Formats: sequence, structure tokens, C-alpha cells
Amino acid sequence: MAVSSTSSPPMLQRWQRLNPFELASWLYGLIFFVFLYSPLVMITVLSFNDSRLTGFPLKGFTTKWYEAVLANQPLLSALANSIYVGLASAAIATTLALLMALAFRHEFWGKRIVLYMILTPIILPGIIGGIVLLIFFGYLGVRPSLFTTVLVGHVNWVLPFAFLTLYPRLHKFDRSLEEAAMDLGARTSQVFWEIVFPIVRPSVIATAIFAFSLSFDEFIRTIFTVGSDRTIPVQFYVLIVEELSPELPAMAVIIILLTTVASLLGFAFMRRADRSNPA
Amino acid sequence: MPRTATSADRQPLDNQRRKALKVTGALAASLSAGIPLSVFAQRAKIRAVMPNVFIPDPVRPIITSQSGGVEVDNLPYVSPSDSLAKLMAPGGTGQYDMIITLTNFAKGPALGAKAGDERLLALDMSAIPNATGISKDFQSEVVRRDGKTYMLPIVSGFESVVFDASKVNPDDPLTQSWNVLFSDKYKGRIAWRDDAHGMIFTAALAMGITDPLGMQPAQVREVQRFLIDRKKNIRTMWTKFAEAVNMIATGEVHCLYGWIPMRAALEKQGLKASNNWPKEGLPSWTQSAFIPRDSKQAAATHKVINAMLSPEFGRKLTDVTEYPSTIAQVASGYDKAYQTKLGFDVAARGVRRISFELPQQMDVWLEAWNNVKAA
Repeated sequence: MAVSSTSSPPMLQRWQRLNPFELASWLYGLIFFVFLYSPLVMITVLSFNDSRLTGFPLKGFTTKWYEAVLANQPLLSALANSIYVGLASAAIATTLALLMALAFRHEFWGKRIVLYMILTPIILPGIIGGIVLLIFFGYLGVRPSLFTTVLVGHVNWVLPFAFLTLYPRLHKFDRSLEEAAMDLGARTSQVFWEIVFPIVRPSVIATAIFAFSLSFDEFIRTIFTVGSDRTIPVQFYVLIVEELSPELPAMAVIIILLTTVASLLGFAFMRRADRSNPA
Repeated sequence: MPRTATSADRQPLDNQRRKALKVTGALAASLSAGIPLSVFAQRAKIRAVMPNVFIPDPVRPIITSQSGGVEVDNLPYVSPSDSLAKLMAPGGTGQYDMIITLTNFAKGPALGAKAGDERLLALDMSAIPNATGISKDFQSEVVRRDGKTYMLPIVSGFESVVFDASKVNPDDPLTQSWNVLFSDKYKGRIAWRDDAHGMIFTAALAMGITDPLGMQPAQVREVQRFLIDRKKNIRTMWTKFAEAVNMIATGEVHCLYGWIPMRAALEKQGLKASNNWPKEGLPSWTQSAFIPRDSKQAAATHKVINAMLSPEFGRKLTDVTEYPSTIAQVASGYDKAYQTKLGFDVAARGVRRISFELPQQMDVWLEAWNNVKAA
């Protein structure tokens, strides 16, 4: 039997089999993702636009704005500050979150109240949190700076997220492994470092990476607690409000890449954690 | 049996030590020859909260040289409200050494209700001799209480309509009125600022209300109705400097409620930009410097304020930003055409200047503006 020369390709046949509702769902999904990601695509395109104005029409291709970013000391300094504070916030918040998650595996008096207190920074609007920190440090007489007021503000913001990420993974950790180790004579510290931590390590790393991303992007609390130093979101804000800085789209692309890589790494470690410690 | 070291053994060691000392000494000498001794003296630094636009890089050397080496470490600036919040917060009077913000906005809360409530330091005017150079047009902006001076105006400015002069005729009477933002002529090519104070103030002027600050709530509601009616003519509202400049530069709008540096930025792009001198009145303001009461660098800050009131600083600041300095000598250094462009001679030209203060019932204005935006 001869094969019909007019048979549709398999993909088209698949589309043709979709009912109107399914087609509408696909279309909705497509529009959703276009709406979500087109600003990112646009800013990337504009970062290569040979024009001092951030907008259309495109006037040619250039990489000079990326060169301008690399030569812009205040921008690079702000980027470095964001990275340092991000790393410090991630380390502190992840450590505290891990300790809290371990404690929350046990019952203790006031557990629910403590949980609400941990989660309060998420519920509090950012501007209120910033004002609270401004007043708090004012009363204490602490001068605003990166590794005093800003770091405390960032840990305060990031800690609930770190806890919410780590706690479910520790909650479903098989306690019989710890019990077996203790039965075999392991000390508490040995049980933690040689049994528990190696298993939860991917989760801890993923949490740290998420915490870094959150700290890196934090603006509203930082603006109230930063002194004369700048983090990258603060520097961006100052530039947009008061100046016309054509290199901002290029800087934005660099930051998007950094935070995307950090987030993807975090997801990768999280998947690894889920595979190694399924529910 | 190990033998003890003799003088013959010690000689190579001594030579090595001498060589090492020679090299070290030579290094130290060559290094210090290139380093001025003043570097080792600690430079005074003051922490300032001020709009970054008033301390561009070209003016910093003037401040440093005229103040005897004091440097200004300026914090990220957000708004006059944020600056005031920083001053009024617990400990705020000791955290910062100098604040520059809108005079009429800050003076009330900063001075407090009565003598003794000031959160500012009374200025030692003998340390600020350049203050005598403040133009008579801005003497009323000097903030005093009981014979003491607390705030000194550094720079002035105004709100107006910034427009593309190739698309909007500067000689059209409509252009020289606030109504250019509200009329149908440039429908779809107008941008308002997303700001309750500015838009209600200027809309009131456009409606013929000569004293916007004296409006009763019923009048504010009339202005609200006017703005809602005219909203159909606008393209959008802007909130950020770069947003506004881009809109005119790309041709998205032809005119907008704007600021002086927007005009300057557009001119640098090669655009034929200008601003109007509205016949109904030019909302004008000054930005003043003051020292928080518990500043630990008051002496150094006095020197900085004196430097900022020097003709050299004023001239450079005006050259870079096109904001008019408050120092009389600066204006006289420009030709007539440039004085007119910058607005130094608005009073002489008969343009009515109105103090761009905040209204007593700002909550009523805010509510009205929110209704305009929601409509």
C-alpha cells in the first residue's frame, strides 16, 4: 500500500487532535510566558543598543555599555558590596535556619509562637521593616554600615525563607538513622556531622544559594539601613531617580545572569536533596 | 664535635644583614619619596544626606580645597521625606553631619514647635562668611529663629513644563501656561508626574486658583474633578527621572511636568528642549543645608557649607546641573540670555514665583490624587 504523500507531520497531527479548551490553555500558557519574560528579553536587547537613551528605536549594535559597566567604579563597588553582604547573610541565615529546623523537630513550650515570630519579617511590609530597623539602630546608636545594620537587616529578611526551605527537609528526615548511630555509640556531634549533615547537605547548600539571591535583590530595608555604602539595588535606584545612565540595562543583564545562575544552582541542589531523601 | 662560629663565619652573615638593611632602607626611601606627608594625616569626612545631583563629581574638588581637605560622604538619597525621617528617627541627630533638602518641607519639623525643640544646630555664621553672598531673592529662605540661623539655601529650582521645542511652539500662549498639560492640543502626547503635591498644585494654578496652598477641601475636590476630566489627554505618568527624559527623547510625549536637569539632559542628547515660564505662577523652591544637632563633625561641616556657598562652587554646580545657585555673584557671571534660560531673572521678567510648599491638609490632596489615578 502506497504511503499518502499528503500525510501531516506528527507534531501537526498532535496539535490537530487538541480540543478547543486544550488549545486555549496552550495559548494562555504561551501568552503568560511571553508576558513574564519579554521585559527580560527587551532589557537584554536594549543593553546592546547604540544609543544613550534606554528605549526604542534601536540605533545599532554595541557592547560599549558593558565596557562602561566594567569601568564604572561605583557600580562595581556596589556589586561587590552586594556579593559580600549576600554571602555573609546566606551563611548566617542558613546556619541559624538549620539550627532552628533541628530544634523544631522536637516539641517545646511556645513552639507555635516562636514559629510566628520567625515568620513575621515575611508578613511585615518591607517599608515598615526598614523603618523599624532605622528606629531600632537609632536607639542603639549604631552607625549605619554594610556589616552592621545592613547585614542584620538582610539576615532578618532572609532567615524566614531559609527556615521554610530547610524545615520540611529536616522534618522528613529519617530519625531512625540517628537512633541507630547513637545505639552504636556515636556522640551527638558525631551523629550530626557524620550522619545528618551529609544527607541534608544538598538542602543546606540550596538554601544558602536562595538566601544569597534574596539578600542580593533586597532594596527597601537596605535603603533605611545603609550608610554611605551602596549595594547594587540601592545604586540602581539612585541612578534611575536622578540620572540618565545608559549603562544600566547592561548592568541589569549582568545581575539577571548572576541571580539566574544562583537560582538554578539552588534548584539543582534542591532536586538532588529530594532524590537523596524522598518523603 | 660541632665547631663554634668564628669571626670568619660571622662575616658573610653580617654582610647579608647589611645588604638587607640597605635594600629595606632604599625601598622605604623610594616609597616615601612618592608619598606626600599629608596622606598620612587623616582627612576629615562628613556624612551627608542630600540629593546626589547637588554634589556631582566636578564640584567635589572645590569643596575639598575650599574646606581645607574635608570630604563629603553622601548617603543614597531617596526623597525629602526620607531625609526628614532620618533626622527625626531616634538617634538621627547624631548619625549625620549635614542634610540638604527642601527648605519649606524640612524647616517646620526640624525646628520643632517652639524654641528649644530644634533638632538642628544653630550655625556659627562667623565660620560661614560666604553666606553674605546669598542673593536678596533668596534671603527669605534663610531659616532663623530667635536671632540664630539654622538653615542656609544652597541651590534653587522650580517646577515647570519641559517640552520638545520642535514639536511644541514656545511662543504659543498655551505653551506659557500650565494648561498646556491639560488642554486637548497635545492630546496623547502629554505626561504628568505621579505626584499629588505637584499635580494638584499646578492644576489649581491652571484653573485660575492663585493660592493653591490655601485651598479648602471642596476646592481640592474641584481640582480632582478637573484632573479626572483631563486625564484622557495624557499618555502616561512618570515617576523616575530617566523615565521622563526617555519619553521626550523618543518622541513618546511632547511635553511633561518636569525639572531643570531633564531639560539639560535632553539638550545633551541634541534635542531642542526647553521649559516654560507659566503665566499663572512658577512653583519655586530652595534646597538648604543644615547640621543635625548632635553631629560630631560640626566644625568640618561648617567649612563644607561655607565652601558650597562660594561663588566657585555655585558657578560649577550651575554649569553642570543648570540649577540656579543662590549666590548673587554666580548669576552675574552669565550673559543675559543664559540668565534667562536658567531662570535667574524670573522676578525681573515679571514671572510670578510661588513658594512650592506642602499644604496643611496633605492627606486631602493625597486622597484626591489617588482618586485621579483610580479613575
